[in-house]
Amino acid sequence: MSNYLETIPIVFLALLIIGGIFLGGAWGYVGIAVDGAAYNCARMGASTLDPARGRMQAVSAALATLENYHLDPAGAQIMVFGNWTRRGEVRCKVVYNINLRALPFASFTGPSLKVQGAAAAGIAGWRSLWR
Amino acid sequence: MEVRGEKGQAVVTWGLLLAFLGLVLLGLVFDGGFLARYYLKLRNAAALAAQTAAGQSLDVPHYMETGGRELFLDGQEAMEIAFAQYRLNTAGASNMHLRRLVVNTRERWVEVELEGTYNPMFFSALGPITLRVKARAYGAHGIQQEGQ
Repeated sequence: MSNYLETIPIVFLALLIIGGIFLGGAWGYVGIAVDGAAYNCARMGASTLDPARGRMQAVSAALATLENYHLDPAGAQIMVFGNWTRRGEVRCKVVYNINLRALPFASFTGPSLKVQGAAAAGIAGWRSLWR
Repeated sequence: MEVRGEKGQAVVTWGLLLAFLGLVLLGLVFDGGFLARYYLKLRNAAALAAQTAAGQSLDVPHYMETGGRELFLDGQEAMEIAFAQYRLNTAGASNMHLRRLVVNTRERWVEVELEGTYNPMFFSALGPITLRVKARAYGAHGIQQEGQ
């Protein structure tokens, strides 16, 4: 009987460590992906040569970055704020929800964990072929 | 001859060892992941500051005065833009600061060097880890007419 009682804290500790490893791994990985997506979003949004297409270019770049990290773009919110004029500014914010329901104990913090990244880039003052 | 309880001791020793290794792995995952993210954030902030400054500080009046022969960067303006952009992209990120800012007006490049100090959560005994990143960006090569 005492063996079973001793096993309970060991299993609990093991699950806690394993859950922590999975949570930490996902948190760091998604954080890197989200920061990369925000950076590419701002860069590509600011690099447009057609102000009407700036927002679309920015969102496409963010989605492509998330896909390259094998993350489901449906779980992300991408916000783009821009002033598409010469020397204007493009700001991107990417928020991704990590689903925690599959991890032991991690769901105590809530059903999902929000990870967000933001970046801002300036549009060049002079460029050729601006439409 | 086996003394009663020796086997149990080995199991306990292994259990403790595995728990310790598990905690080390947990630390590596957390600190490794956050350190990598911190580094990328620093690198992105440096790159965006350099790119924006190089792209927005062309000295157009001088270009016009010289009849399109010389295209330089406006050094003062490049510095101001790079600084503002660095502040914008490191807002909310702790322990990041501008270490060096170089503008080469004739060659039209801006170089931004940022330094950041990451404080590990699990391996705090190792002390803070200092990272330095440098990014250089070049301004446009040529403009042909005003308003371009």
